[in-house]
This record gives sequence, structure tokens and C-alpha cells, in this order.
Amino acid sequence: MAQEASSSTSSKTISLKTGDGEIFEIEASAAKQMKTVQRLIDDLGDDITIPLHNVFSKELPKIIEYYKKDITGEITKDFEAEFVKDLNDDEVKVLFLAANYLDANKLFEFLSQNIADRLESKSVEYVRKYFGVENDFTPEEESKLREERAWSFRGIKEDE
Amino acid sequence: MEAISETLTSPSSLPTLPFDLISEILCNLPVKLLLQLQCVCKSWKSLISDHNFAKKHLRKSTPRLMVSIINNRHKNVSLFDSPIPSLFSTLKIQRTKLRFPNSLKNKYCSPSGVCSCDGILCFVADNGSFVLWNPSIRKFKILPPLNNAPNGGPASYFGFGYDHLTNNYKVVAVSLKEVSVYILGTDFWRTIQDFPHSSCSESSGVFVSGTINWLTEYYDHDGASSISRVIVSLDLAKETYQKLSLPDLNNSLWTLGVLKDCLCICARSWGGKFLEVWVMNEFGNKESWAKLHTVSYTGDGGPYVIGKPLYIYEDNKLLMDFRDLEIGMVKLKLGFYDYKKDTLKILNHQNFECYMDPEVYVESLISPCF
Repeated sequence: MAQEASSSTSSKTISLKTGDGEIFEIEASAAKQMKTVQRLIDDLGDDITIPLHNVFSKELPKIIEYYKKDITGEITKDFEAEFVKDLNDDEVKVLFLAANYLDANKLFEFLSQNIADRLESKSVEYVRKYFGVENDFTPEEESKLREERAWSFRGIKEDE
Repeated sequence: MEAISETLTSPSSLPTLPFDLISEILCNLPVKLLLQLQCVCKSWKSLISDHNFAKKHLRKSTPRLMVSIINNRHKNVSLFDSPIPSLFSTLKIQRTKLRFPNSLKNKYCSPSGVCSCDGILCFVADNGSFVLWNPSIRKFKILPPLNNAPNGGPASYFGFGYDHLTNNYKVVAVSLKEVSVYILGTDFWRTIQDFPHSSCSESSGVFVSGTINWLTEYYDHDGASSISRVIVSLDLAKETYQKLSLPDLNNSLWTLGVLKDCLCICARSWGGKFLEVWVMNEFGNKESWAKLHTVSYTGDGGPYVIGKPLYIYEDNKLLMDFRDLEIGMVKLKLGFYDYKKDTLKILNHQNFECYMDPEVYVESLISPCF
């Protein structure tokens, strides 16, 4: 087939297929921000549908929405606040995992900070539950640790 | 349970994040919470005490402001710190009292000044000992006494910084002209080349780009009462000195500082009504000195003496400290300088009496005891 004249990447769209079989379109310049996608494009060409086995139809549109704003330089604090506003804890974790899989650095950093924000002033027990981590300290070990750090468990004191 | 990659039915099962991703998230958390989270489980405890994690966390760390306040009732010095005030917040700054190490109580000697690097503060206690202290994790180390202590007396100048070559921290102490260096983790001081100058204007050196810098001032030989100034810069890795020239300015009182990882000079006019802030954009290059702002205070209140810029915000606004000279005491105030509008806005911050300039430091997990 005769080589097509290369169009500017900004006008070209790439097809992405999620793990559950749905197809979404994304602009090539946005795809470039997701290094995993870009690597697949480099290997497979930009004319075929890129398969993303570990990303699903629930998350991908949201990710595409983020990068659509990114390439037009429109990501503001307000946009980011709005973006995560209605995400519950599980949804944000899934998006974070997807951003990691896609090697989408900007989104990854943003979501990493957002998850951290959700944990501020939460208890040790809450954080264990949030990450599904089991406590492997004995009760004695744990109480000793807590005692050593008792000051860090206290709230910030206001200046008198 | 180990990390699981998503299955095709994933949306309904709980996503579990693998440990390396959890580590990324934890880097964004404040130190206090991280210390609590050492109780989560054994692998988290190890991670949070790990030096490499501390370095990673440092990159995202928040700067804080430390001030020493004289408590009039008890006539002792208390240390407080607060987050760097946000440009947009009009709330009163929330200050936290720093718990000073017990064994050093009553020995804190604030007039000598303080240096900090990566969250560790370095200062000289009353008895002449050097102390390294990370107030965020409440760990401190008293250094062994200087070798020449009996002869030379306590250090007149000192500095503290990070040596990227050895991936470690060094304390530098100058006593008369003899210079000793202490490397963190060891238990002795080593002597290096003599200090090439005398009469530094401030005892604590400024750490920037792997060097510790002191401003020196001296009167020219012709006795025409013109002051010559030069910066003595010690390369921490090579342990050699360099002299850095300064811009030619007429102002009287100079201080050396650091803004956005560049050396900066604040040259105040007599009477302290305005000061010029110059920044050395390229370390070591005399031509790269550039004037950042001329800050003038023409508002109500006062008499104020403008101190120095503490912190520079994204849009080049400056956080300044300055003194309110009331009879018998010096009160510290903070303000934002907006160079576009040439206005100085005093922060709604309780007046307090203090000795030394506030110190900007970052909160970190880096321990002075490793």
C-alpha cells in the first residue's frame, strides 16, 4: 500500500480497545502522554486498534477526558477538583492502577496526591482497611510502637 | 494478600495496590502521619524508616518556617514552627511548638543562628557543642567536641550541608582560622584547609548547590571607610574554597540567603526603609547576578527594619521578615511583597519578640542518627 502522507499527529486519532472489548478514540497527541500506549503504537502502527488488556470501559473514558484537557493546556485546579469529586475510594484506586499500567505520568502523580489527601488525618486502622493490609504486629509490639510515637498521634496544638 | 492484577470481571472486586505503588502514595504524606503509619504493619515500618524512602519523600516535602520566640514570662526561648503561609490564606498562621530535646533544654543558644539542610537543623548549643536536630521526627544528635576546643574556643562560623559525592551530610566549623569537618555517622572531626578570610558577617553559612557560603566584609586598606565584600564558598565534596564576587551596590547592611536554590543577597539601606534583592542565577558566575526586586516599605506603622526574604512563591512574590522596633524589644513580623504592585502586605500574625531571623526548613524523615 502506498505510504500515506503523514498528517500532523494532532489531527490523527487512535483506537483503543479495553479489556472488556469496548473501543474508544483518542487523539494521537494525547496518546503520546501515555507511554504504554505510545510503545504499542510504535510496535503495532497507528492504524490498528490498540488492545489494552488491563484497562476497562469504566475507567478509560475518564482517563481520555483528563488527557483531552491536558493537550489543550486546560488542566486547572478547578478541573482537577471536579475530576475526582465524585470518585469513591475504589474508583480512584482503579484509575490510579490504570494510570500506572498506561505509564501516564501526569495523571499518576495527580491521583497519587489525591489518594494521599484522602488519607490525611485518618487512623492507622482506616489506612490498613483502605489498602487491604493485614497487621502482622503482635499486640505488644504494636502498643510499644504507639507508645514510642505517642507524640505523633496527638493533634496539632494551637499556639496559646 | 499479594497484589493482584485485574481480571476481566475486575470492576466488582476490591482493587489492591501493590507495595511499590503504595510507596509512591506514601511519599505525598506529611511526616507526622507517616510516623503513625509505621504501626500499620512490618513492611510499612521498614519502608518508612528506610533512608531511600526518606530521600524520595524529601523531594515532595513541604517547607516550614521556624521561629524562636522569647517567652517574656519565663525568660526562656521557645521554638515554634508553622507551614509557609499560603498567599491566599488570611487565616492566622497555625504555629506548633517544637519540643526541644530534653537533654539540651536551657542550652539552646539562638543568637548563633541556625543552618538547615533536608530537614535537619544544625546549631551550636550554649556549651559549644554542635547539635543536629530533625524536629519533624524528633531525633537529634550531639556531635563530639571540636579537637581544638581548648585552644581555639568555640566555633565562630559554621555550616551544614549535603555532599552529593559521598551521599552524606557534613558539618563545617571554623574556629579562628582553623576549619574542622564532621561527617554524619562518624565520631570525629577532621581538619581541612584554613579559612581564607576573617570577619564573616554572620556565623551560619548558607548551603546551596553542594557548597557552604559565608559573606565576609572588611574595610579597604586605604581606610576610606569603604567596605569590600566577598563570599567565601566551600565546596563540600572537594573541600576547597572559592571566592565569589558580589554586585556593586551602595547599600549598607547585607545578608546572604538562598531563594529557589540560588544564592541571594539582600542589601538594606540605612534606616532599613528599602532593600534590594539580588540573585546569583548561575552559581559561581559573577555576571549572573541579577536584581530580583527592590522592596520598599512605605506603608503605615513602623518604624520597621526590613529583614530578609525567606521564601519566594511561584509568581515571584516574596515572603519577608522584618522587625518592629519598639522600645526595649525587637518584634518579628512577616509580610508578602508583591513586586508587580510594589506593596508589602503585613500578615495577620501575632507579634512576638525574637532573637534571630526565622529559618525556612523542610519537614523530612532524614535522621541525623544514621
